[in-house]
Amino acid sequence: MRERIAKGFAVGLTLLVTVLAGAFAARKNAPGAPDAPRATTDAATPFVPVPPPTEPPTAEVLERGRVVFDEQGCTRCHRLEGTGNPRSPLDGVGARLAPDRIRAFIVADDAVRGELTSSVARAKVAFADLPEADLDALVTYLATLR
Amino acid sequence: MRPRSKSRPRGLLWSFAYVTLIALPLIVLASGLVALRGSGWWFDFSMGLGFGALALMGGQFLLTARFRRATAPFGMDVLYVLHRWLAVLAFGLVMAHYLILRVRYPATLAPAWPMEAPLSMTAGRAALALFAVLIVSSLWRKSLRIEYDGWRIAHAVLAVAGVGLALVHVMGVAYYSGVFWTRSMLELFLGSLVAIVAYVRIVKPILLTGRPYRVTHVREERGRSWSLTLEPEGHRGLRFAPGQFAWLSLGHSPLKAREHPFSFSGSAEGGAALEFTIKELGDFTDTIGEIEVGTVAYVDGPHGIFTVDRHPDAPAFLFIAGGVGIAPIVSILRTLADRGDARPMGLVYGTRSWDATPLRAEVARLSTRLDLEVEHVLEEPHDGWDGAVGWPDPELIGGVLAKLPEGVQCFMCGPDPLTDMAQDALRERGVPMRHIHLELFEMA
Repeated sequence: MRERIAKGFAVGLTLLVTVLAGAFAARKNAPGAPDAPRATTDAATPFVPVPPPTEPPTAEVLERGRVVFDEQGCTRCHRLEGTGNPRSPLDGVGARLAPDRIRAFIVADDAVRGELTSSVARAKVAFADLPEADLDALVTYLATLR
Repeated sequence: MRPRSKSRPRGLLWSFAYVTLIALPLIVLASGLVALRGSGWWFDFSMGLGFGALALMGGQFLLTARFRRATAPFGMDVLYVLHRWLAVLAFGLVMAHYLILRVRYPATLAPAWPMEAPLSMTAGRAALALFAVLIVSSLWRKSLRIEYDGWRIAHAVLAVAGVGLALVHVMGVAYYSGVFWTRSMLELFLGSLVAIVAYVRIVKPILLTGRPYRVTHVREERGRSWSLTLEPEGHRGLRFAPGQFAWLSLGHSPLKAREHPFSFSGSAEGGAALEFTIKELGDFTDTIGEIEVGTVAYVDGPHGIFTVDRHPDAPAFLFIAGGVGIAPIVSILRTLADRGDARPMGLVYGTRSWDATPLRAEVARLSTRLDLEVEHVLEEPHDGWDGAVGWPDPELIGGVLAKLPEGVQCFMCGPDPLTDMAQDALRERGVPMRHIHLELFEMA
């Protein structure tokens, strides 16, 4: 009897936790859910679409940028065109952030450090060691995402 | 110790507090306090399951901390049953947390190889593995032939390491835990965890060290059992209700975490001395007979709700014992005799043989001091035995039950097959479950 009550209590509590997890997910994804400033949006300044670059990049540079994006495992934390971590989508990032801001976010530069959590910043500083050409190609590639 | 009428609302209150504590993190996360937009229902559902499982795992430390005030309404035994179930179910939630990401968002998991993955992801994987080891080594401890004392220490270390790694994982990933309220909650969680572990492993043992007992008698009983008498040294000892048990550290400090639970077998009205009757069971109990008079001992108790004192209005009592399961029942009978209790009682007592029947002389004496009918059942009867033979069976139990008035409270202690059979026999004869009492774990 007491054994059965204990089992029922355990199952009930686990179900409650599962339902609360579902409710939490539903609330966070409801239309009009609250949104705090995030690294991918530039909340400090009013949103003005970034103009496209005057000189279109070469296909070679874009390809290199895409390869760097894959090689560095960017999808672990970022989503692009439906693949990767949905937490920080990069679709259209080129319209939201100017190339120098994109670069700053990639390497967790001091200019954007305040917008990143410390563990994210720690993970990102390693990208500052990428060859300069690769970093440039990556920034160029991301800037074309509109 | 406490009559039922008082312990039920207290039990409900503690249960409610526990549920609230476990649910609170998810409620805070879902509330407006954590102003973060979601990343898709499945993704956030997986995150929610992770947080929920962490809360459940943290709660396990509270559940097994043996806080006497909080556990008194339930009995420690049933909380260990709950502990087992919650461990398995919470592990299921952690697995679901992982599998949802594995299937729907594989890129987020990072490589399994630790050198290529961020520390936080490796910590999460390691926590998952430790929880699996924890559950397997506990549920199948005996089949895996893991010795009890070593297992207990490993269990505590694995549990702390598992939850510690899970915290490294959550704080490192820092999706939802990067914001103030979640961060604060996790820090509070970590602080409470450290406090509970420190209390259970250090503070409480040190407090117990200040209340030592000495072994004053070691008496060999029949059936490879021993009775130990302990006297408090420099303090007034403790009060227990007959049928309760305590965790006993014999000959070493309670800081060593090598205590074992044993039932009191002495009278609760018998002054400050405590008596325990312990059987050699093929583990550390085999050395009980070697305990010398004068050995220091520490007693964490009393615990348990297997006691007649919770049923002061019972018109009669039926006791069913198998082997050394007689110990708590003798404690009850001795106490009732000392109180001059006149209620009718029956005892069905199964043992291997007459020579291996622990405390049989004491049972005989008590049957003259109380209105107590005793039915011995011997598996291996000697020549000339005219009592029952084999195991106690439903007819025999029914026969003793029939002589007792309606509303009898039944207490049983012994091997599982015996108590399972006895429960069924009593229920078939109309005894309600709330009148049937037993401890839910084996007394090692």
